[in-house]
Amino acid sequence: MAQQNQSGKDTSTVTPSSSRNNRNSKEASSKKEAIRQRQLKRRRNQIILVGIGVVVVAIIGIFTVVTLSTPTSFNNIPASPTQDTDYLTIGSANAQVALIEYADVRCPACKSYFDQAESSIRDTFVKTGQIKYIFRNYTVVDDILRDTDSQRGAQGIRCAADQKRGWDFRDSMYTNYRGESTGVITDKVLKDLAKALDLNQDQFNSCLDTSKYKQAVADEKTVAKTKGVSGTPTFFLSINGNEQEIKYTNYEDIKSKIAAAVQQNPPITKK
Amino acid sequence: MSINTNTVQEKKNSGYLYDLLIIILCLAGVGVAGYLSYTRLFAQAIICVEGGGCETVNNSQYALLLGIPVSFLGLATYIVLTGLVITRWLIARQNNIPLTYKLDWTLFVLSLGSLVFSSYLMAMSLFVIKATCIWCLSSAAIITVLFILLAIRLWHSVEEI
Repeated sequence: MAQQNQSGKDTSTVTPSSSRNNRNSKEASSKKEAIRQRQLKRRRNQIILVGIGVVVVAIIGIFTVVTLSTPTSFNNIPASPTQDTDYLTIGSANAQVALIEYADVRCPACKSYFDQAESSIRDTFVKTGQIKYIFRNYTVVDDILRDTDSQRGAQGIRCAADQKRGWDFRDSMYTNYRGESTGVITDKVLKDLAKALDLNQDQFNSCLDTSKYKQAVADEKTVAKTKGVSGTPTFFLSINGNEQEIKYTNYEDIKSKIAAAVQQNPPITKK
Repeated sequence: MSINTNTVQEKKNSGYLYDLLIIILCLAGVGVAGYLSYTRLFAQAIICVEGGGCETVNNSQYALLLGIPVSFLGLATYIVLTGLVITRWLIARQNNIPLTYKLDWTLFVLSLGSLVFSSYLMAMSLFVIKATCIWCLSSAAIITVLFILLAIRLWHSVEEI
């Protein structure tokens, strides 16, 4: 008996082949939709990857640039400059006695001496005109660490000395001591210090960039070695050009040695 | 049938509003960058808030990129963005889906690059120059919102392909 739907059409004529066609058509649609969803997902992943990739690279890049551009901060920059009276020398030209210090700006023992004894020596003997105080670079830490940071620091001091601010530069490196590791003294640190000390930046930078005093620092070290210098700090008392090494153990000890030398060789007073 | 028509119409209206918002932001960016470019070109003082660092920031070394004032680059970028956004709107009206999709990608990449550069300038302003400029902050805010809107649009436009 034929079946009819409400509109009178005969619905009993669904053949096996049309049913199979319907099934195939549905399967094709599903496959097409699955492919479309996969493409959609792939395109969205591309957006996410591009976005995240660019952001990560940008963060690293910006952080690096900001770190490199941020000026180094320094403590205890001298309020008023100390002018070198001669090349890396402070104190009266009339003094017959000179204290010569061979030191490395990265040397921890040099830093200890600077903190414990130097200001007292300068107050007692240099400011009173009794002695001259001469600083010389001896880049011993470069030999230990097999790098050139102390060389660079020494060049910075000499470049500052061109502007008669060698002692201020050297003092500021000790008051802002950064340790003795590789990488603690960079050109950026040296240039920022020159800026903090109000040096002529162009002159200083040019001196440093051209490594003007590289050979001179090396020669200074060679000369020091001939005098028996092998570590830092090493001190000499120079009396009218005659140099004799003195050992530093503590402030009282070195003070007594300087005092004895000054007593024998007081400053020349011009009549 | 009438419900479907309304839904399509609502979608069209919200699309128009979305495009309008993007265009307004682009034009605002043109305005800000244009003003800074004008002050740079004619050596005019920049109108700034009390205690603001507009002059400090815009006279710093970071206000130049390869010798070109950053404000000029910003202006050029915002003009290009505006042009692309308007082009995209016209193309979309013609139902050219593949080209619309390519334009969406272009806008996404351009706004992302601009956002990165703007972030760099903000970082230098805050951490190196240690001064802020209200105009620069405005531009940064504009490009940030623009990027978000363009990213969202690209995200949805992949469904149309």
